[in-house]
Amino acid sequence: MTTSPWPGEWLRGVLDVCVLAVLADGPTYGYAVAARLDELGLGTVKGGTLYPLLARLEQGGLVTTQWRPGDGGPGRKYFALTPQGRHELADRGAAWREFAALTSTITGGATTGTTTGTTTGTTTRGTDR
Amino acid sequence: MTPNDLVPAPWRDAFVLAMRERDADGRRIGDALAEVHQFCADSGQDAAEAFGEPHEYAAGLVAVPLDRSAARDLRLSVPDLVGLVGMLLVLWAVLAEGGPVTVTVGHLAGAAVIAVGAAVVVRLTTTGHGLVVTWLVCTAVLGVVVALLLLVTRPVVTLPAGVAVAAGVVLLVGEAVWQTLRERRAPTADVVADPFEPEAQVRRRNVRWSVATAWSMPALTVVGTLVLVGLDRVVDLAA
Repeated sequence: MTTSPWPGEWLRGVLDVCVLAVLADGPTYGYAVAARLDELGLGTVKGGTLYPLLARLEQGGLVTTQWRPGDGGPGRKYFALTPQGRHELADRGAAWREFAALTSTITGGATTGTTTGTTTGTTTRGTDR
Repeated sequence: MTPNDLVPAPWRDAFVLAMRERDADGRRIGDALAEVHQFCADSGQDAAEAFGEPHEYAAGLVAVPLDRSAARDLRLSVPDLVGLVGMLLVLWAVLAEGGPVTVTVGHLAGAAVIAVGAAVVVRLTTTGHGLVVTWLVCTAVLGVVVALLLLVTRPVVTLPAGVAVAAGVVLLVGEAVWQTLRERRAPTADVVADPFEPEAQVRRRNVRWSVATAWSMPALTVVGTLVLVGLDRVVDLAA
């Protein structure tokens, strides 16, 4: 699916919200989305992964598309966020940040021998005897 | 490197077929192909490298597999049956070399089996069934037709050759004209269309394909007649 420093199963969960985030900067085309994700450190996303995802976002009403003629080359299909897409990005972005903070806390705790249950506010000693 | 080097014809053809199997229309296929061309041109990767196997990529794009009504396929084959009977009448008259043409129950049943068999083969090939299954069905249809022609010989009508040719031509041309009128109103062809191609131009191409298909049976009959007459001449010369 990708040539990425990150495991595929992680990317499968986060790729759509990352694509929405790239599109939040303005309408752009498929390869530019892939290049931007690579530049941001996510790795190389193949067209075979990116376009089905963009098609699902379009079907969900989160992006709109428009073909624009290219300069001498093939035309380009531009993708743009809809208001619903921006709303989704805000919701899911916030959820991801919370989730990432949680996993950071858990895994950070694990390295020091402590896990913190943020939902219950309890702390357990992972190495208690 | 040209666009055709990056998206080679075998990859493109396999992708179009896979999309057809999933009942994607010509616009959707053209749109997806243009995306592939665009991405490959921008990235410098070829289609297989950027998009993987064409069947898998089509499955990712169009998740719902084909669920087309078998009744629709059969309904579309009924006009073909009329044209087929017309073609057979003309060819039998040519084979009869001026003598009377006897149409049997086996002839009519055989024509019906061919029309239904053709619809079944089209359905099998467009729903992703393998060549072996399609070949087995073709062989079975051929076997049934030959058996009907040889075993069910009860005559329905005996026609002078001229009448048989005239009836055949009326059926052939009548069916082609009827199909032409119908296709001009609502073409059944669905060509792969580039996203920049105007709708009116796509419709014109669809109508052109549909009308050409409508006249394929009369064209085939002309070719068949020429082949039979030619073979007859060759046999005469050899004798």
